[in-house]
Amino acid sequence: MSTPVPQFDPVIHAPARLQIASILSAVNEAEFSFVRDAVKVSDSVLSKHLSQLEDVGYIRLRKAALGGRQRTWLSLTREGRRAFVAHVKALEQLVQAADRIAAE
Amino acid sequence: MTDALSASQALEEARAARVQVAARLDCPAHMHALVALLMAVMVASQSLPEPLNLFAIAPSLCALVLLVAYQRRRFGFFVNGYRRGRTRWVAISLLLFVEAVLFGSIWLKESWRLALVPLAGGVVVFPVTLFASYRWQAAYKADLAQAAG
Repeated sequence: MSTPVPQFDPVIHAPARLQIASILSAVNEAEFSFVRDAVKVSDSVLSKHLSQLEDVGYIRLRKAALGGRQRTWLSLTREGRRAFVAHVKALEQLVQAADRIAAE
Repeated sequence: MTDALSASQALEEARAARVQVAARLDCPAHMHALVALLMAVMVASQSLPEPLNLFAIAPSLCALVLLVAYQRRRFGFFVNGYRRGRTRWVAISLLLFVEAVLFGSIWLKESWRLALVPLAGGVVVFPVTLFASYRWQAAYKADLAQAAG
């Protein structure tokens, strides 16, 4: 994957969605309840955020059995990973620019 | 300045979320030992005469599949060992080492009739895999702690 150009992404920027993308960028797949507990939101709130990320093609949802129960597994798509990295780079540039101005 | 502050907070939240994942991935010692044992058995079993050596690999491979399923259930996520970052170097180095020992010992067994060489190879593979398993975990945590993205 080539290095994404820094680009602010309003879909990812919302705190909960940024955390979701950040968690998914660290793993191949994560189970719904793990992400819900990590982000500290309810099932319905997480579902809403996931729908928004899924609508723009940033995440993929997969149903699979685990321990005899049907679970939902989440993963970042290639596009989602690229958008997340580009967004983080844009944030870092913003912070660096502010640091430079403060130092002058 | 407010934008920069909120950007800084967003980066910190993203980093904190990844650190949470890293904190969760704390394999107990017996899991590291089990991985090392499975790799060692796969190599050592080549000391057995054919076709027993081939049959001996099957339980180890099945155990590896079960281990991955157990990891998913225990942690709630799955991480590919060959993910980019420092972890990839640890995983590839281990793979090359185990393959070298495996095929080297099979060659010595076939060419020089040294049937116990794979067994000795397995004994060597165990501590190396154990060390690599701990190194991989440390590399993963370091990768996640270092950067937000």
